[in-house]
Amino acid sequence: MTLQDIRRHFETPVVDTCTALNIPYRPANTLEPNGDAYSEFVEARLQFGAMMEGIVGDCTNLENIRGSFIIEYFGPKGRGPARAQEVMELLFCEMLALKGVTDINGPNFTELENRPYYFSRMSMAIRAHNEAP
Amino acid sequence: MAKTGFKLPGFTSYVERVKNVTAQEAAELIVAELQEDGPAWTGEFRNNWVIVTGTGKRIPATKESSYTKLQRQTPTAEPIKKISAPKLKGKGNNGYTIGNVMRYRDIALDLDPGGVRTAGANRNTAPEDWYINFVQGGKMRQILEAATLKAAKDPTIRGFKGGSRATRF
Repeated sequence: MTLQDIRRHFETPVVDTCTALNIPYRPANTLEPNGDAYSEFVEARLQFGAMMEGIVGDCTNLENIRGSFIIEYFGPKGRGPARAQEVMELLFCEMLALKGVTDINGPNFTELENRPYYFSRMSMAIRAHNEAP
Repeated sequence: MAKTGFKLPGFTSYVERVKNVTAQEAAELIVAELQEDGPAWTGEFRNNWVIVTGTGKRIPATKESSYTKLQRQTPTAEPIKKISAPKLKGKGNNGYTIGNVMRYRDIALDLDPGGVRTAGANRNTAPEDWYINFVQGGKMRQILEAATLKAAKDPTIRGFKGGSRATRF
């Protein structure tokens, strides 16, 4: 898998869930669309961490890629946590069933102090390997 | 009925000692890497990691920045300070808790989605989500492996011979 394939692998269930729930999804490095306190959206970011581990033996799969995948939900403030929980629970179940996800932290829920959003985040450790050509 | 297992005098003390030294090495290596990977604008945040004995301890974020707003605009980063872990003694210890005591730590750790870290040209302020990636991206695991190896080379815990000598740590 290339890095882009890995990104697609982890993002696809998030995109599909957001589409099913009719929530805008904001991928990494895209311009922020106009939004306000009444809108809701989901963001996800993939970061690669420890990319290489020494392997002894004849193995064509040299890279053992680790990283973290972060999913964040932003929803309107002052309307209770139900919607955020619904969204995050579905996303949690999707990620739990996804190959390569090893450890999910969260989701945590909080009202943001400086922004007009109710916020939830979960992060997870990911593993993949980059096959040699 | 035949007895299972065997007893080595001093072995429990030896294992406890190895465990304590490994935990101490791991805690210090983790903090050193957090200092290396994390943001260093004034250097105050990276020098305010603390290691306390016991797991799950609460480390309150109580320390205000000693820099004024003006000083924070063009700071010279403080030199990095080595953070040491207190020694764990005896059996039944509970490891360590690591935390940072600066009030703005959630911003520095990228855990506050409303907070934006100070950034500037040619300055290390760490990549986005550096902390989550540190914990979940494999680096923590590598450090724990490295700590085990390093502790295994510690001359004070090598050469276990059993008996009373092993208890003289």
